[in-house]
Amino acid sequence: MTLTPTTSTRTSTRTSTRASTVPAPPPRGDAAALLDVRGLSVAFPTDDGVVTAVDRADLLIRPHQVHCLVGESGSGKSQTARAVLGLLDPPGRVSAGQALFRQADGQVIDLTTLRPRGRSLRHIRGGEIGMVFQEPARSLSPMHTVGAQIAEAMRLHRGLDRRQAWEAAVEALQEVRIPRPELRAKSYPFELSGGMRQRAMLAIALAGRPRLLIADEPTTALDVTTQAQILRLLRRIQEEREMAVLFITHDLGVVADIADEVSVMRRGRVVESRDVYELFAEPEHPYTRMLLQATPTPRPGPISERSAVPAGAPGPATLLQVRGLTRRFRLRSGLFGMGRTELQAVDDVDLQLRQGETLALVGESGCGKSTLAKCLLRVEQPTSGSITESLHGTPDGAPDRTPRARPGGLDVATAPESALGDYRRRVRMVFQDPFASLNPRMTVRDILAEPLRHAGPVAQEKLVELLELVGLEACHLDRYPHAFSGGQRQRIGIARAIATDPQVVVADEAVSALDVSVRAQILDLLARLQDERGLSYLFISHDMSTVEHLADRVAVMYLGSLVELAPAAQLFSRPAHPYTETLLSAVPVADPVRQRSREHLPIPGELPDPTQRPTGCPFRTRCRWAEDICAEEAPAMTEVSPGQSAACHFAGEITLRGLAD
Amino acid sequence: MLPYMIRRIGWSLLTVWLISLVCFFIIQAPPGDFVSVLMADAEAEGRRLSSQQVQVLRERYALDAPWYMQYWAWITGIITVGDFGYSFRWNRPATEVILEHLPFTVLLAGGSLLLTWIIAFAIGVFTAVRRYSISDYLFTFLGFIGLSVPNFVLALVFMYIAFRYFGMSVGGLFSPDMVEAEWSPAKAWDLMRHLIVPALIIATAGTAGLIRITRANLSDELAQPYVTAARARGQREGVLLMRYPVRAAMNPFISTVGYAIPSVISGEVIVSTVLSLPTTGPVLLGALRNQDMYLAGSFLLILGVLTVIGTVISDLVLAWADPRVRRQHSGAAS
Amino acid sequence: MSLHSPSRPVSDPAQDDAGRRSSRSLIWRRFRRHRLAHVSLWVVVAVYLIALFADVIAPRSAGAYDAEHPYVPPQSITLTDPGDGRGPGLYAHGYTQEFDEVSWNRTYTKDPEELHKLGLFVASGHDYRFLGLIETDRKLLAPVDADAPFYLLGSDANGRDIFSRVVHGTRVSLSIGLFGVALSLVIGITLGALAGFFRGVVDTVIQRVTEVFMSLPTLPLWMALAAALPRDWGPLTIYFAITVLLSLIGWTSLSREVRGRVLTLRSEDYVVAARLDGASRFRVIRRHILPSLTSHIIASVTLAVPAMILAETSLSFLGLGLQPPIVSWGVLLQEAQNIRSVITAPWLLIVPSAAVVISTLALNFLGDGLRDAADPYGGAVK
Repeated sequence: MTLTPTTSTRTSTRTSTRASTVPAPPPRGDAAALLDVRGLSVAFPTDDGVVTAVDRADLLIRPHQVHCLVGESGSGKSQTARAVLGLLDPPGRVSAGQALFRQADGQVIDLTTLRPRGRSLRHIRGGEIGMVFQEPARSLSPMHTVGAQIAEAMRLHRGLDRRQAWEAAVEALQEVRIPRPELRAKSYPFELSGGMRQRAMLAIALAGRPRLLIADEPTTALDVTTQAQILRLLRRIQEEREMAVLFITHDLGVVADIADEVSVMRRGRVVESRDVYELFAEPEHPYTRMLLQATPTPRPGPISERSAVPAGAPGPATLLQVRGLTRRFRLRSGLFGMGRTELQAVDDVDLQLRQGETLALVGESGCGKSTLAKCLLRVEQPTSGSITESLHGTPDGAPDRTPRARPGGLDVATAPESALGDYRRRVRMVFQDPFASLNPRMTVRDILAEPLRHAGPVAQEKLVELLELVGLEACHLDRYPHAFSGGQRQRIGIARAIATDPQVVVADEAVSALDVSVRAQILDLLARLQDERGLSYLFISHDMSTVEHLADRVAVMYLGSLVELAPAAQLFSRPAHPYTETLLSAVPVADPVRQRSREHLPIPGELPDPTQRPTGCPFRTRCRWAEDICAEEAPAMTEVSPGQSAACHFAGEITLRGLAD
Repeated sequence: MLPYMIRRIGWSLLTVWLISLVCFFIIQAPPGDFVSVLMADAEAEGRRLSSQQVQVLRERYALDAPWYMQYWAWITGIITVGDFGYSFRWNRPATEVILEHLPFTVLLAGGSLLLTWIIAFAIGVFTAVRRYSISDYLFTFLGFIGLSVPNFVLALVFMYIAFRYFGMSVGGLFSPDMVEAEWSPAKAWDLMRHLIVPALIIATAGTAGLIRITRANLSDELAQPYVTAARARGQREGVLLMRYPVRAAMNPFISTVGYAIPSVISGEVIVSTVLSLPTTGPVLLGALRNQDMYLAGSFLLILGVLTVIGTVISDLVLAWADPRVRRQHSGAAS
Repeated sequence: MSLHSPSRPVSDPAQDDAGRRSSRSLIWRRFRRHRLAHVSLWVVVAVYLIALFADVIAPRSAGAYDAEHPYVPPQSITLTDPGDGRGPGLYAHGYTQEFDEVSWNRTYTKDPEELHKLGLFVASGHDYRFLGLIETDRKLLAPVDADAPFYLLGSDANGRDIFSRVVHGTRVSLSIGLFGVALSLVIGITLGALAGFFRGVVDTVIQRVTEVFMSLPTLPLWMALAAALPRDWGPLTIYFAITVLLSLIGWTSLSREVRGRVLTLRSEDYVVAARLDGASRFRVIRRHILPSLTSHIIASVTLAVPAMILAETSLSFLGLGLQPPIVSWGVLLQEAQNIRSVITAPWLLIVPSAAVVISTLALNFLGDGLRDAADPYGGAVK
């Protein structure tokens, strides 16, 4: 890596900034600005020189307005916000620029000139500017109750005594819509769900009645339904309190949902700053255009325009047939670990994967989609059920040494580990985390050769060919994984998966950890490989927008159960299960016009604890259609239209909204 | 919480049983049983034990039975009547000898542990907050020196300095004029004065490790988002430091007690020997040198059991102090 | 937090040589930043070289005594030319002895007139086998006149040269540390890896056993076991027995460390990937788990060596470890136990103590640096 150390001192940069290099902030009546960030630079001195995280950024936030700051990872968006509040992690420091904040009394002060630990900045923090962070789980101290942490903020900024502060904390929890706030105030953060933690964080940030709320990726770690709830709450409070919000995110869908104004950041610079409708309609900067292009938006239009697999017709051959697949985990509890709590991670799932198709498996965290994928490859041992394979041919031309006849129909669920070798060469896996899935102590050559070793020495040409297939070069063979970026590593992971010339690739959240632009490239690569090699994909994802773009069929899971299985076009336009409807309603569409004209369904409640699954239909506790029967009887999958089936007692009787509605 | 406590205590009973087996093995290790050693000793002094005496002793400790019967006789004696066997060196029941010396050991070990904590806490917090400063390096260096200098060398150096430059003869737990005196505040103070230096010497060894753990843990905790979050709500630096990260980083203080006790006891044995303090150390050493195995084995057993009790208490305190640990043990899911 | 400066391209390994760096070279690079550890590495190397070449470096054998020179203070060496035809070179000062018949006290005063010429690789007249192979009598630094008194760091009550004894002791003390740790390592790694990899009952049993050993106060236990050794064993047998004893109790922390690492590693994605690639269980352990462990194991081992040296020293000091005529640092310190003799000859305490402190300190720093550098992929450089 090459680094050009920035040696300029703060003052010299300041003068040069003032001189000309940066375009002046948009002339929109700066007098009205609540926060006016001018030419802000943040530098991190490291051993290899000074890294400039934020480079002369300008940002103008008006009162009563939601201002979104968008950018990919490393663009400096979080550092900008932290710099404003003097919260940079050492050794980071503001090297140039100003952050002019208009206080309640009308006085304007430059926040970057205040001492980071001084009294005046402490008053601003929480009192004038509140902040919410990305990871609610780690932003609350695990050693103290939620109520104590809210009360602390109350005492700091409202001058309340201990008892008053506690009461105010309970009230604040009520305001952020946490049920049973008296009880919840006494809970420790890890006893709450992710959504509730983020609500609690919001209560803390709002305790001092700030006029500006900085929300740093507040919904990134949350599930999509929880995200929708939090966004709605945030918007409501912002309107009620006439507060300004600086909302930092990488997700253009969220921007389309919540922003009044948008600034786009790239490599430390603000490249574009516009009204949200203008920005989406006619982006000016090429980077903004690229971002918008790379972000999938649901294709509008009726079903007929889209290619749906003709149902009933003799479709392509089934490669994998999953029947009644169940995976239970036993958790120890009680005296001497004798008590057992059961967790039904995957519950009686039937599924088939056909030749050449992309089957997407979607659902929120803890729904069992990853466990299902692991069962398919026998990384996890299924508790019961069968996985029958009808794969054909031999992978990578190696002699088939297993003595069974083809087509065999091996039951993968029960086969001994030693009999799985051949199967595991036909069904391969791409992992979610491109950093954890490559052995850091092996070169790319060794990593790619590992699955080919069984057939004897591996030819250099074969490895080069693999690398070139995924868009890398021969010279990368002898490098170690640490030399590659996330996207490049994921390409290596894909090359490893296709090395054995498989028929099925299981991609477990394979693009979730990647930035939007890189994600689009990897998805393109996957699509190309599918075309060229006739691969079947089992694509596991929590991101409905991505799934909408590439899946042929979609399976929706909720609390371990399969609730709906349908051709993609059908599922997105006419879902048959109320949970699918809820999920679709919660997905933010990356188009402010469409997103804001959609009708948003109320999303009640929270995902239940997986160890305490509701009786009957797992979704009934949050379903607006639920009736008595739902609690008594678990609904079976029933076909509502050709190729589309749902596990709902009222499937087919109720009309549900699709993504475009 | 209660199931956890019961489980924890159950496991420790198993540990204690295994320790007792090890101790018994050590008692049995020297060739010949103790009665024959006793007889030989008596003969050397020109006495003779009556065959009746010999018979009583042999039966009491089941010396003619297989080893597990002997073990049974030994362990039941300890549990039911507190009979730890007979010290032929002191010509007294081992129990008496132990009871005489154990309180000082506990006092000295407890004092060293306390000192270890105080020093490690202060330096650990300071170095974590001032990471990579000159003082950080200095204290870390000092800690390592403490770790690398053997306890007894420190004790010897201390004695040398005291003798050479102050003309004092150190050693013992009381000034000469206090040894026979009745217990009084003055005598307690005299004891304290004599304890502080040995305690400090023992503490040097354990402190470096604990400083390192504290520094590493606190550094991790300081980088946690909840610290930034507390800062972002306008809390004062000093208050938030103590209330959040330091509180969370305190766990090792409690959890390492269990493992610090063996090292403190080890230190106590050797330092007491050098400084000739009337604690278990020199007695144990003497017992081992003279193959007075019942006394030695009993000391070992008691020290082991004390350690186990310390570990159990530290685990329970940890569960009480840290909601995360509490939850982990309550068997809740996820 | 990832930082990308405008000047830093996301990553282009094609143009970047860092990509070819193996984990070993990355570890070495990180290690070198820990300056104290880097210096310590050379100190440790030097100490081990002294142990290896003890015969050449020590001017005398460990047991050589001279009743005429008890408690001689350290001699000073000067580079000078006495002008008596012996030529310029290194000379050691002599002492004049006075013996007080009443108090039986010997006093030494430096005699500027008496100079003993020193030479490099001089023949000492005492044959030994260099590295057990070549018979020679050369010594690195010794008086040219083999009978001249030469006590670089003083002598003890029997007129034995402390410097020579400490150098010979280095060999014993360091080798005990090394062998003891090697033995601990075998036990610790085997049990730790078994517990971590197979989990279940195997793990529970091993964990219990480890816990029992950890809750025993080590020194008393060592003392007891050492005392239980038969009295009629020869010094060499005792030496090996002590080594085995130390390692039997020292393996616990290593085993815990290994177990913890294996537990984390076995659920790493890349280990799962290796399984899916068709690697056998043996290959998964050898090729994917062990390489990630080695650096941590080396660090732990380095930290275990000084602990074992201290343990040997303590045991020998108490008279329960090695016995004369074997010379170890602990044995030397045992001779310094008597405060009277320390008052007379402080070097009896200072010299072996310094040897112990310098080597354990260096080993501790080395281990600390290795531990910090052991995981070159674990986030940013602190």
